[in-house]
Amino acid sequence: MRASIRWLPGLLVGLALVLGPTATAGAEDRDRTVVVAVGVDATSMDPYLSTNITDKHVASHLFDTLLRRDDAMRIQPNLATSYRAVSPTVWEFTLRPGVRFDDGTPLTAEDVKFTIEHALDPALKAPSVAQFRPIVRVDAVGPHTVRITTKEPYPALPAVMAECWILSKAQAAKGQQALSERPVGSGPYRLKAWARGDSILLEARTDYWQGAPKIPYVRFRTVPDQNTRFAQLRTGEADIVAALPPEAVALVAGDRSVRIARAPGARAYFVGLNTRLEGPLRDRRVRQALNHAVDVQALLDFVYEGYGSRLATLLTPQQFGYTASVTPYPHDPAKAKALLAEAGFPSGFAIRMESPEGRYPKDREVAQAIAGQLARVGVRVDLAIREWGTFVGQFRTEAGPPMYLMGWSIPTFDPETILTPLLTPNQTYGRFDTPSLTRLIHEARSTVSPEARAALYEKAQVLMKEEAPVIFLFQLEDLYGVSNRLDWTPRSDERILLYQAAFR
Amino acid sequence: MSRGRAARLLAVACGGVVGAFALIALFAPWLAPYDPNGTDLGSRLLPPAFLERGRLAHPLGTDHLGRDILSRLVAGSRVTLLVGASTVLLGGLVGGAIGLATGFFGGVLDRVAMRLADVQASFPYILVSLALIAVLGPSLGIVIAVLGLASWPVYARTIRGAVLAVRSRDYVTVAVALGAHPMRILAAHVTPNVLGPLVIVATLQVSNVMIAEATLSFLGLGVPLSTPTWGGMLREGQSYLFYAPWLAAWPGLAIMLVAVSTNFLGDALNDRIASA
Amino acid sequence: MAVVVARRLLDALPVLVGSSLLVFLLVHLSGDPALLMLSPDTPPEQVAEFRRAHGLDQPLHVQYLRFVGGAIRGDLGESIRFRRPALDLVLEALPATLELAAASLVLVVGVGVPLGVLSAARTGTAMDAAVRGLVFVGQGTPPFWLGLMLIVVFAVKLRLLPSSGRGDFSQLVLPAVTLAAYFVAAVARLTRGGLVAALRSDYVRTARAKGLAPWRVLFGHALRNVLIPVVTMIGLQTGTLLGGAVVTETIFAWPGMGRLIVDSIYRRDYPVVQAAILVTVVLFVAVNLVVDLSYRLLDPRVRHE
Repeated sequence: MRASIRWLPGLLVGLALVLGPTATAGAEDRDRTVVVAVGVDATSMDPYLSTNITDKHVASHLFDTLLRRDDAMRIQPNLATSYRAVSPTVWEFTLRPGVRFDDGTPLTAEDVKFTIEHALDPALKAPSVAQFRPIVRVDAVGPHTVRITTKEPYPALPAVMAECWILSKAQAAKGQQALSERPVGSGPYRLKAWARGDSILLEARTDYWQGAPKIPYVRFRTVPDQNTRFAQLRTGEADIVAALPPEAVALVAGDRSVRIARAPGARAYFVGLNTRLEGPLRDRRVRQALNHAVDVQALLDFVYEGYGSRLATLLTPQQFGYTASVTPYPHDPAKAKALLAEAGFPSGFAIRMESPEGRYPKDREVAQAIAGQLARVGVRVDLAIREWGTFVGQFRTEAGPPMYLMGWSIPTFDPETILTPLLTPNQTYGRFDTPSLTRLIHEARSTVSPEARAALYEKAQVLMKEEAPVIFLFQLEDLYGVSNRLDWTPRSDERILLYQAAFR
Repeated sequence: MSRGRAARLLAVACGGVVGAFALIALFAPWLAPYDPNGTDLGSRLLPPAFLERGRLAHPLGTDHLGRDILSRLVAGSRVTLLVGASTVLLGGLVGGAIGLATGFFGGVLDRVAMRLADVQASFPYILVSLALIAVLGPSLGIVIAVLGLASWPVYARTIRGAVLAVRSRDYVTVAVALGAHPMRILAAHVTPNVLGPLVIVATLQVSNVMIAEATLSFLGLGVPLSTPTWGGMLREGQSYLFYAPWLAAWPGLAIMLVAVSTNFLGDALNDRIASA
Repeated sequence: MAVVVARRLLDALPVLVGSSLLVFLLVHLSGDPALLMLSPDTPPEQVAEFRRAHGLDQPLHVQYLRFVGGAIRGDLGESIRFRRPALDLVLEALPATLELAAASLVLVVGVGVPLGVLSAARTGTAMDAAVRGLVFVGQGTPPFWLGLMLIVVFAVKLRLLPSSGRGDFSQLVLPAVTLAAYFVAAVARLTRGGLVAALRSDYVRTARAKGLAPWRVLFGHALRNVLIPVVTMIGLQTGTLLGGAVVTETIFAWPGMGRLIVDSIYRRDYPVVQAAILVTVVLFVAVNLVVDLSYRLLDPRVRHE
């Protein structure tokens, strides 16, 4: 009987040894590897099954796009040396000859055609290809010429093509599992190992068409806890850590081995105002009053330590058609009260506001602060904080929540991707529409001439400020912790790219 | 000093700590120096008074929204202790009764109850609360129900094991052989012998439940935001652990104090039961 | 013995059906994955199309029957997120979980039982109070706090151990300690409580009176008395160790089942949640079957049919 307790530890140790720590492809050495600590693991190596930012980081290293964005987010040639609109609905791209996939096969117009058709294939059930939907057909006119036809004029197509990673048709012939797990791309790196939930190791391709990368290995390590990510930066286990909280900046100041890098973020933050529901928000003066009541600069200063900038409307300065001539609502509680009184609410009103939790940096804190500021003009906010899944679940109904905090990411940097979904009828998240604004947005999205289009968006920004469909908030700065052994600059599209980085 | 006296002193001290927290919870609204939800962004993240930059006006410092931590700690003691006590009571009563009955009577009852316990115990309570909140909206009742019910298998299985051990003892066998009524045997012989493990498990669960409540709060699945709890404070403070460690330290310390005291009390009670 | 095992295996069937139904209802009550998966600019008709493509537009009972039908053939469905068989994802995460669970069980038993014996042998002394105080502090410390403190001390300051991740044995140490801290208290206390009761019982008194050496009394008679509650506790912990180590797994970036389950719950990835919980239930039932059988081994007097 006494023996029974003795074998137990032995058995467990034996078990631990048998199950053993599995080797996670440690072929590379730390000195030649850049380790990036990310919050989530990749979903799939097929970029069209992507559900998170890590997928995009990885895809950007494995694959190339027809067009690319430079550091200033301007569209530049990439796999395509040139492109033009043949007609308002037909675009022609000329491909660079001599580009080869990692398996040695040349990249041709057939691969481009395959890629777009793959993304739109109903059998793929792709989660995030809404921007591809206007495409009705793709033709490989020659080995290096592709024509893309859209249902209606679609001026945002070049921006979409900067997010369209070209897959190998030959690899796809081996089945979906090959695409999802054994990617073959034309990008600067190849997949070396993927230990799910733990890390992804990429290896440099010396035969990359733009020249071999200077960094031999890149490892994306999944570290879900932000405190642990920060600890990894301090210990040197990670070279790049994204989404540092603003408080981290002061702590890193004394550390000579790391630095903080900043870039304006791709998200526009706002508080949605639901005008589908009966109530005070239907009155434009009330919506304007709310904009006067919120002290956005104070939110930035106190909650985000100043790392962000005010937005006058829903457009960020990086977006196409942005104009600085539209200025933010000044913070003016007296004016807010006057407007509320004028609208028939001299003593304010009570309303529910929804905020997600853990989705955006300090989402709960900023929602609480906004509720506090609104209370000062008599708007009594009943704040509900929800887990993200429950939060978005509320938009399954026609009505939706009365007020809601959101941050909208615009990967295409095209206003179309935010204005149509938020301010026109029959959309998933938008709960506001007025005929004048809707007409303007619809006109702009089908105007191909960039100049005419920019002018329309400028008008839209003026009208947007006037209508106050949301409480306009801010754009945050993305903060990164970077090892000083690395030369690397962050981008405004949240992408962590190491092709142009180098060790110091 | 004799062993007995030292042990009694320790028990009295721990009783004092638990009693003090209970009093604080009872009189919280009159004790909190500030509105526990009153935000003041201008004086946010002030350290405790005894540290550099600290202010006497906020002896334990302020949190990320400038709320007074002392006030929140005092106000939070209410719901936290309520959740702790009521979930232990709920889980302990349900689980204890099931454990006693199944251990003693065995048979089909035992089979069914233990399989139910298997289902319950291998279920993540996060899923249960997520579903309930999606349907009913967040409330204190859901938190108590979810955490209370999640813990019944622990009690049931521990008690059942203890009953099985006791039941095979000579005196119980004799009592059964003499034809004593099962209820009488249960009350006279078995219950006193399983009270010890019950007390131990129950006092262990107090801190467990407080930490589970923290997990739920953090995930937006806890009690509504306007009600401060230690668990909620703890998880809010988690993101500031490196930058303003006092945010999580105070509620953590409070939870630890209550946990250590109840556990010591539980042991004292167990010793008393054992020697009775 | 064989009869007991056979009967328990038979019982496992309704348990599996019951829990699958419960999980199914709970995950579906908590919302669906469409809006979580799709980018926000997706218009409502494409959201509806996505739901249709994944069969989420079907009535609940149809979806459940479809799930059961697949499960009978060993197909627990495909992850909506990862587009891979849900069972594969769970089984891939299982070794990491078992590794961490085994390591912390070794710590729990190796530290908890001796501490319990020590404090029972010295009941009422300062040593007893000190041992228990230490154990209680370990148990009352929120795991994320303890975990991060360990990282700060051993990884950031002393540079002795890696902060997180899985692969090397050194990476196992900190998470195993964190996970064990809570359970050590439970085992130490149950050991102490049982011993104190046993040492005061008649048969131990008799043994003592017969002049047996104190350690023989302790190990020969008294310790056996505490094994049942301790083993019961360990059996119960196995359930918690399998799916409930989320906080530890998150802090130490440990790719185990706890994280997979919670992530999947948040993404409403139904098939993965269902597969993970079914696997947990099977393991849990198996471990507790062993626990129940061990009662007879530990104490031959126990007979429970």
